[in-house]
Formats: sequence, structure tokens, C-alpha cells
Amino acid sequence: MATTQTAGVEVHRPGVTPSKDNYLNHSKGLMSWLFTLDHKRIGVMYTIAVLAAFTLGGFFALAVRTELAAPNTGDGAWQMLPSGAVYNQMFSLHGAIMVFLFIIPSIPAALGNFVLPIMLGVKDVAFPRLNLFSFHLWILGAAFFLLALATGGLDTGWTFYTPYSLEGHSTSAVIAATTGAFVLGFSSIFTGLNFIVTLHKMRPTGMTWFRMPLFLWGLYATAVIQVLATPVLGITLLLLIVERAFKIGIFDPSLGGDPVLFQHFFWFYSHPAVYIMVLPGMAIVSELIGTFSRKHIFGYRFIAMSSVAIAIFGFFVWGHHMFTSGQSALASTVFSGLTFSVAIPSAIKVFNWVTTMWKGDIHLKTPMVYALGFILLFMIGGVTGLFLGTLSTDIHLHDTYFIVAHFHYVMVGGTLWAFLGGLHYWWPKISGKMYSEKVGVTASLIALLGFNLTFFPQFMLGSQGMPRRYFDYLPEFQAYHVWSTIGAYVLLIGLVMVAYNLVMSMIKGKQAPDNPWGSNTLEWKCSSPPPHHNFEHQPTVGDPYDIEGYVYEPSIDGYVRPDEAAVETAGRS
Amino acid sequence: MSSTQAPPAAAHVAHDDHHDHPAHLAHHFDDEEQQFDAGKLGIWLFLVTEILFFSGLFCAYSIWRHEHPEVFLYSHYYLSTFWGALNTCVLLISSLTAAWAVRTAQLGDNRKTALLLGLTILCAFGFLGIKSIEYGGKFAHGTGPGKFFNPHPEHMIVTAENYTVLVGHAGHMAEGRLAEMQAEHPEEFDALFHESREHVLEEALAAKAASMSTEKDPVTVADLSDAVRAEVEGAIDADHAAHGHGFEAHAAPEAHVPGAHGHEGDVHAADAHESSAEVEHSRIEKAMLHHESEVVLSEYEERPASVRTFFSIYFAMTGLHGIHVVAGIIAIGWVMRRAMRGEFNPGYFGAVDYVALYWHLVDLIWIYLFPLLYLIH
Repeated sequence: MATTQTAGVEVHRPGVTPSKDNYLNHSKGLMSWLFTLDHKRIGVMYTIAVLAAFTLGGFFALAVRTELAAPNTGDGAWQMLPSGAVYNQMFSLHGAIMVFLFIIPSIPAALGNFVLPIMLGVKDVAFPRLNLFSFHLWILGAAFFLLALATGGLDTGWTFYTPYSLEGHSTSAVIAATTGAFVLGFSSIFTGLNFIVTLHKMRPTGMTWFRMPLFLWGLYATAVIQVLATPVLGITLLLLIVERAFKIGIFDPSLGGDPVLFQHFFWFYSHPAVYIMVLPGMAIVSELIGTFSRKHIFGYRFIAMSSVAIAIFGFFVWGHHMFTSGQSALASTVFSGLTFSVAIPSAIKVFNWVTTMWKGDIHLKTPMVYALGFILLFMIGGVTGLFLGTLSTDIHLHDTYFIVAHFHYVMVGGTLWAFLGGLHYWWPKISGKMYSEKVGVTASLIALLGFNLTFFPQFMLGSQGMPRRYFDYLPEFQAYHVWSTIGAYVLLIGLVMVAYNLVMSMIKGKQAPDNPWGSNTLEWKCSSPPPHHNFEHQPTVGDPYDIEGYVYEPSIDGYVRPDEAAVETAGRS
Repeated sequence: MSSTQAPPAAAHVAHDDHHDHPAHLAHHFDDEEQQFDAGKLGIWLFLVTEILFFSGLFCAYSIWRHEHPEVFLYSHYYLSTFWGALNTCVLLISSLTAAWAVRTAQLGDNRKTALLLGLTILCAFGFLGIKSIEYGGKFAHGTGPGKFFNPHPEHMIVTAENYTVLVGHAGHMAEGRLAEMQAEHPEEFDALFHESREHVLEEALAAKAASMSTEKDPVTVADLSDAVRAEVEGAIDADHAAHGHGFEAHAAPEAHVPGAHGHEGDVHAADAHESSAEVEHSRIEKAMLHHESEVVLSEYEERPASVRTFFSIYFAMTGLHGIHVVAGIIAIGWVMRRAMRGEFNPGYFGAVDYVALYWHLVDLIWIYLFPLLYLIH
């Protein structure tokens, strides 16, 4: 299997396949990337694109946090941004860019595109052209967001709530941003559609549903939500655009329209979208926990099915965003009850992860540190969600910093942590290079500290009554705001270290072995980076979590499976 | 890219398995069946997203119809059932030709496939043509969507072809209200009745004067003697006494023709041959009813925000559907071109099948839109 040519002598090194032809050097030139049909290149382009969006959204967040370091009046007053209107644009664009351009496409479109076909043992997704098209739609959607930035700035918040979005100061910014979200919605739909068809119709011999790695189960459940929920957002945004442009009177109360209808439509998508954000994250963690505990994953079927259950339950809880919107008491009660039901499959996952680690041989590699961070942050985010799902407490906490902290724990603590964990996990496969573990782990811990420092004080702020989205605040809240702002900069330091580490690995990282972590899913059975068609030999499919046969091989800093290597060597000679 | 460039040496292994691939089979599929099945599931999923996409509008429609049923009833008379029904037929025919094209593609008859797809496109253009006639009429009458909703009163009330039905409906409501008024506020009803009676009396006197006139000796109302006046008045009152108010007796209000203000002209004409108390009385009631109908109609006119919502929903739903028709024309044009090049065969006709499925969905959505918008009763 593994051969290198050194001065004309073939040296066989099990576990390293430095194939001369890989997807990175298969063809050259910018156009060979921008118009590629190779899912791996599309995945890499998505990764770069969503990280660029994340950086932009991150700068807006820092602007917001810096502004909030002190009140605008009184002792030590401080006002960085020129006006409250600019502040409104900062948090609106932060939210909209992070949600639509980063979080939603981050794991499925970036990592999922790269990993899914290889993990499944196939050459590509079912519709490679559609896959490329959805990336181009992402670019187009991003361009619309930049247009919103250029045409006066969006100030509606990421939710575009009516009636403000119908009368706010900049028509062109609202229309540009909603058009962008509309286009990105179709990008997301096409990715989901592609994944569903690929998983249904292209599984190779032996890859039964219950032999699929859990990451694929998570992507499958995510794709179902993408396909079933996103079209509703599409029509909602379209109606909002038409309403703003032509005053058709569907959402505008001054024309007899119903602004709460917008909220229903919006959350019918956007609550399931929360699971588009977190399900793939959970799926990555399910891969990481088993691999780095050197144990077979515990409760495979429960984890797989709980993903599907979350996807289904997720469609019936949207009303919990509207407890204070004049929704009937009966509807609120029902939505509250259904909301709690989501806790069941979520908790099943956490129990299974913890049980997998139980008596495992835990290796605290960078991806595992992110996975553990995910569990911690997701637990905090999930449990505080119960406060908000409870009718009586939600009345007090609604639209305060409590909810800001809650959803950041779920979306950042959940999705971003899992994304970074997955990025570090598959980085050797994507880039073919190893990064510095020391820097990777340190960066992860600094980011974890910074994150908690930023958002934990916001729970206090919210429960004491500090409303979200305010430009200014009373002096009594300042201590928490200062901690939060300091935390944001600590988080920034952590994330800069992550970027530094990954970039440096490409410059002077060691050649990655085929299987650096000793995992048994199929993407580790091809070279790092993979060849153009993913596999030189069709891999045999077995239990994806049967990892106990792998042995660490120090000479390559990776894992080999003695029984398999022997078989292959025998087959070769 | 992958299939066009010669892969470097190491990738040869991967490519070697596929030298027996037919040209129409993409490199990442194992066989034709897998490729067809993948496409089929893909298009079905896409159709699901399309249905969900329209579901938002259907949902908005249901909510508004539930909240303002009278607006929908009022407004739908301004849609032409004839054009709508014709368009339904056009689309049904186009669905037939599309389905037929799938069959011929499956049999490998590319010429017939191209012809049938061409017919489908022709129907699609026919649909758009009819739709543009309807849209043009809406804009001409000022019943466009949203801010283009600026109806000219004469178009809203008088000249529309559905005026008769509309006034009939208003008459029904007016009749109900008069009966209610008679039961609950007899004195107001009497006042209204008295007012109408004065009006009728004046008309009757004018008619009497006219009937007594000769060319040489014109008689005006002022010339009528007290005795004649008393006679006319007595006839009306006798009739009144004989029939009571008896409003309920007149179940169906008569349809008013456009330009109902010409009512007095009719009175003169009728008076020329008949002047029975019966006719006088019914005329009083007719006058009252007419008065009330106008009140009811003017109340409709006072709700432009809601009426405009109907037209907004109409334009949003049919407009979005129209965009899908345009997309369908492009997609069908694309497969037609491929059929003309002879690309389809029994092992590879998926594209025709998928596009036809999409076209059936576009057709089906119209099948729902037509009764929901045009046939409200």
C-alpha cells in the first residue's frame, strides 16, 4: 500500500501513502478550483469562505463588546461607535453574518462536503454540479450581505422582525440582506438535498444504514431539516422583500397585515435551523469522543436515532420564541411542553458520550479538547434553555442578556467548538500536514476560558434585567460588561492562535500519516491528502468504531492495523 | 473537470474500473439505474421544497380568507373565470404532452420527444400570454398589487362585467338590513319609507302631468289641480295601507344594471303603461333597496387595505407560479435541445423525466390556485 521512492529504492512504510497525485495538485490554476466538481475542493473553498465570514462577523462582535465596555455617560464614560444607529448595524450584521454565512454552512457545507463521500466510500456526492452551484450561491449570498453593509447597513437584528424591517431607515440594506439570506437558503437546500440523495442512493456494498458513521447520521438529520424548513424561510423573506418594496399588506399592520405571522413563518424555519447548527456539531463530537477515548462508541443506535428525533421534534417548538408576542396561552403552553421534549434526545447523546469515555484511554489531543469543551458548553447552553422554555421564567428573561448568553453557549459553544474540533481532526486529511499539538491544545483552552468569561457574566446581566441590543446601560451593570469585554479579547487571542497554528502547519508541518488518530472510518483509509477519486482501492466496510485493533506506530506518528497491513503486504507480493 | 482531464499516473487505478462506463454515465455512479434513481430522488426532494416554498403563501391565504371572507367574496368577481378556466385547460394539455414526451424518450424516439416538448413549451407560452392579458386588465383597472392598488371607482363598481352579481350580493345584504331596521327601529324605517314615498310621489305626479300633456298644451306638475294630486297620493297610500310595509315579500332584489342612476328613466317608462298601486309600492321599496345597496357597496369601498390584500395575495401567488412557469420553459427548452441532439435512449432519459415531474408540479399548483382565487362562492 505505502511506497515511497527514495533514490530509486522502494521503501515500504505502512501507514503513510504520500501519493504523488492528490486532490490538491491534481490540476492547477484558480479556475480549476473555482469551477471544480470535486467535493473535496468545494469543501476546502467552503472552509475558507465561512472562515472569512466568521472573521468579519467576529470584528462586528468585537466592536459591540468594545462599545459596551463602559456606559456612555457618567464616570469613566466611553463611546467608541459614532451613534446608536451604528451600534444597531454592528449587532445586526454580526448576527446575520454569523448565522447565515458562517454557522449554518460551517459544518455541513465545509467539513461535510469534504468528509461525507470519503466516509461513505464513494467518489463524490450524487450531484457534483449542484454541489458547486450551491457554493456559488453562497458567494452570491455573501455579496448581497456586503451590499447591505455598503448601502447603509442593516439595523433590524438578524431576525428581520416586522414591522420594523418594513420601516427602518434603509430599504436597500434590508432588501439586500434578506435577498442574501434567501439566496443562502437555496445554497443550504441544495447541499442538504445532495447529501440526502447521496446517503440514500450511493452507499456502497456493505455500508448499511447502521454501519454509517455517526457523523453521516448527523448530516443526514441536518439535511432533512435543511430541505424541509429552509423553503419556508425562502418564501417568508420573499414576502418581506415584496412587502417592503410594494407594500402588499401581508405583514404590515398599517395595511391590515399581521406582523406576528412573520414571526411564525420566520421561526418555523429558524428554530429548526438551530438544529441545523447543532446537529452536525453533535455528530462530530460523536466521532471524536470514541476515537480519543480509544473505545467503541457507546449506544451507537441511540446516538443515531436521537439525531433524527431532534430533527423531528425541532419542527414543533418554534412557538417558544413567541411567548411574549401575543400568542395564545394554550399555544404557549403546548410549545413549552414540546420544547422540553427536545431535552430528551439531547441528553441521550450526552449520556452516551460520557459513557463512551467511562474507563476509556482518553487522549487529550486538540480535537478531544474541543469535544470536551463542546460538552461543557453545550450542557450550560442546553440547561439554560430550559429556563427559557418555561413560560413563567421566560417572561422575565425574554429579550435580556440571559438569552444572548444562552444561544451563544449553544451556537458558539456548540457549533464553533465542534467545527474547530472537526477542523483539527480532519486537518491532517485535508492539508496532509500535522499541526502543533501544543499550540492547538493551548489555543483551545484559551478560547474556552475567553468564551466563558465573555458569556457567563451575561447570564447574570440578563437575570438582573439588562435588556439585549441596548447601546447604553446603567452603571450597576458595568462590572459584568467589563468581564464580558475582556473575555471577548481573550477569545480573540485563542482564535488567532488557532489560525496561526493551522497556517504554520501548512508551511512547516510534518507529513500526515494516513491515520493519525487510529480511527476506523473510511476517510482514514486513503492517503493524506486523498487522491482525486478518494480511493485507489475500494475500501472494505466494517464496523466504523472497531478501533481496538489499531496500534500506534511512532515512526510515522500515526496508527496502523497490523492485521490489515499484513493482509495488504501479502496481497501486494 | 474530473472527467475531462487525463489523470496523472497514480489515479489511473481509480479510473481503470470505469473504462466500460457509457458516456452518459457520470464517473461517480456505478450504473445507469443508480444514476436514474439518484436523480429521481433528487427531483422529488426538490419538489417537496417547492411545495413548502408555496406553503407559506397558501398559509397566508388561509389566514386572510378566514379573517376577511367578505373581502375574498367581493374581490374574486374581478377575476375572470373564463381566462382562468382556459389557462387550466392549457396547463392540463401541457402536462399531457410532457408526460407523453417522457414515454417517447424512454423508447428512444428523440424526434417525437423534441416535438412533444416543443408543444409543452408552446402551451406554457400560451399560459403566460393569457396571464398577461389578465394582469394587464388588473393594472388598467388599478387593481395591481400593493402600492399599485389604486382602483378607479367606476372600475370597481360599475363597469366590471360582474356588476350584476355584485349588486345582487349587496342587495341581499341591504335587504337583510332593511328587514332588521323594520323590526328593531320601526320609526327610522318609517322615516326612510316616508322619504322614499315623497320621492315616488314626485315621480308619479310628474308622470301624471306628462300623461295629461299634449303637444299644444304642456302640463307641468305645478299645473295639476289639487284633486288630481289627491288622487295620485290616494292611490299610493291605499296601496301602502293594503300591503303594509310588507318588505319581506320581496325576497330577491332585482338586479340593477350598470348606470343604475338612470332609475328615474325606467320609472317614466313603466309609468307610461301601468300605474297600479302594486307597481308604485314595489317602486318605493326598490328605491329604498337601491339606496341601501349603495350604502353597502360604499362600505366595501371603505376597506381598501383589505381588498388590496386580496389582490396582493393574488399577484403574489400567481406571480410566483408564473416565475415557475418561466423556469419550466427554460428547463424544458434545455431537454428539448438535448432531445434534438438525440441524447436520450432507454438507458438514459432521466432528464426528461425530472423536468416533466417539475412541470406536473407547476401544473398542480395552478390546479389549486384556480379554485382558491377564481371560484370563491
